[in-house]
Amino acid sequence: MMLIKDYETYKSVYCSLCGALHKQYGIFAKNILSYDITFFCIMAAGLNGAKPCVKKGRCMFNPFKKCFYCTKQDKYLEMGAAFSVISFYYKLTDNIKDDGVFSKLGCYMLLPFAKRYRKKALKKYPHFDIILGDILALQAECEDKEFVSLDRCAHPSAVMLKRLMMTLAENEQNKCEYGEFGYYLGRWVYLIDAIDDIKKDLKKNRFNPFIKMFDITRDNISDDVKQQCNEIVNMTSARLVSAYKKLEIKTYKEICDNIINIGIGQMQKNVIFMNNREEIFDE
Amino acid sequence: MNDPYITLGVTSRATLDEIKAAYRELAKKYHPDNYADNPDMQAFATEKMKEINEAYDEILRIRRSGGTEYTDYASIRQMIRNGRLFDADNALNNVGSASRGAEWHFLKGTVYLNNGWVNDAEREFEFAVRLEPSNGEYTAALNSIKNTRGGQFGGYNTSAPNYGSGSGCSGCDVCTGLMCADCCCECMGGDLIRCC
Repeated sequence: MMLIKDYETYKSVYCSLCGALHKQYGIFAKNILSYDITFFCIMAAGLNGAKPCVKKGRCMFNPFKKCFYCTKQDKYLEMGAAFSVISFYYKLTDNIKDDGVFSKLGCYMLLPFAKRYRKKALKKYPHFDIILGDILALQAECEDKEFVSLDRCAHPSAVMLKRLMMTLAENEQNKCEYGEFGYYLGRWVYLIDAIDDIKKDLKKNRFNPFIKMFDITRDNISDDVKQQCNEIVNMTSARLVSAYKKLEIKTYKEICDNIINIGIGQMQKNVIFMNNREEIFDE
Repeated sequence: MNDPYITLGVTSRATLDEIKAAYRELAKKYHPDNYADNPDMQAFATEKMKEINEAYDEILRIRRSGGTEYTDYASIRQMIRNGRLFDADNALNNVGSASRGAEWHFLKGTVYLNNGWVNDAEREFEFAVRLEPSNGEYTAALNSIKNTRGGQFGGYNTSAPNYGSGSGCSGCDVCTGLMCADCCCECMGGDLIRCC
């Protein structure tokens, strides 16, 4: 679905983010790399009009593999890397709280690394920590209470991305628009993640808004429920698209357009109807 | 803030001159320039000033429209228009559950929608339409949400033909069609595509 030239630019940001994680936080940090954060870096660079510059290179971890790197985007990559490590830390602490014995053990082993990374990231980006820490508390509160509405469950994640996007804004007007876009993006990500986790949560008897909503008890989810889940996500996607249209993206526009207009639909199809979340950008 | 009269510190029976005097006095007191040396106080004063101005405008509007008592829903609509969603939500929650009619549900849905709570908004609009099916405003609001379910405005549209797979006419179909047409023409002695 993606043009080769866009794909290369996208991949170049991905590889550079990997490089930034490696350079700033050490060799293990590259394992927490994610496509979501890559998208955030691209949006950050695009909204601020950073010129895309691509240079050829070799993968840092596999010298036989050729890849692309982008140059001159250090500011946004650094930001992405810091956000990655802080969110990694919070994800671990969250897992320790409600996972089984073995995965708990794994998390405990990773925790010292995560703590060290977070400490380093905190020096330059203390506001990321506040944004993420707040949300976790709110989320826990939502899930402890009796299930009332999907919107309430999605709210903390949505607010998190809203605040994150707002840090990119330069003036008040932008702040509003970025915030709105961030809110729906966060909401969309939460919904997709929740649908993706239905089976896992059923097995582990964990909270999931969709299980409560449709009273899902068995492993296979009926087509009707899938259809309804998709419709619910579509409602958010539609608002995400209209919020996106208000943004003025100066560079990397083709990639962002592609992800918003085609990528999210593809992802919904993969997660809801095909039950596999292979990254849509993988070859 | 719920009641503009309370904000200005007057009763709803006050004359226009009394309201003007109260407004002028408060405006003098909270003018941000008075607190130029204290930024915290200045921010507070600016906020307060905004509230006073809004209350004053609201009262003038009510008086001009001829009503001496201000109706609940009109002022809530005003709050939503001004982007004061929190206040609007509070005002709505203060309405007793027995007297919550179609308009209440519609406004509640509007607050939800402006906050991005799309699902709850849809539910409230559905309530409103059920209570008052003939109201065009409520039906339009409900339909505009319902229309986004299909995925035509973003997301995944399950009924749209898929490029390459699924049904519909893809690039391959066009080529195959042309080839067939060419063969048929050649059988009849003509030619559609010269080179093959």
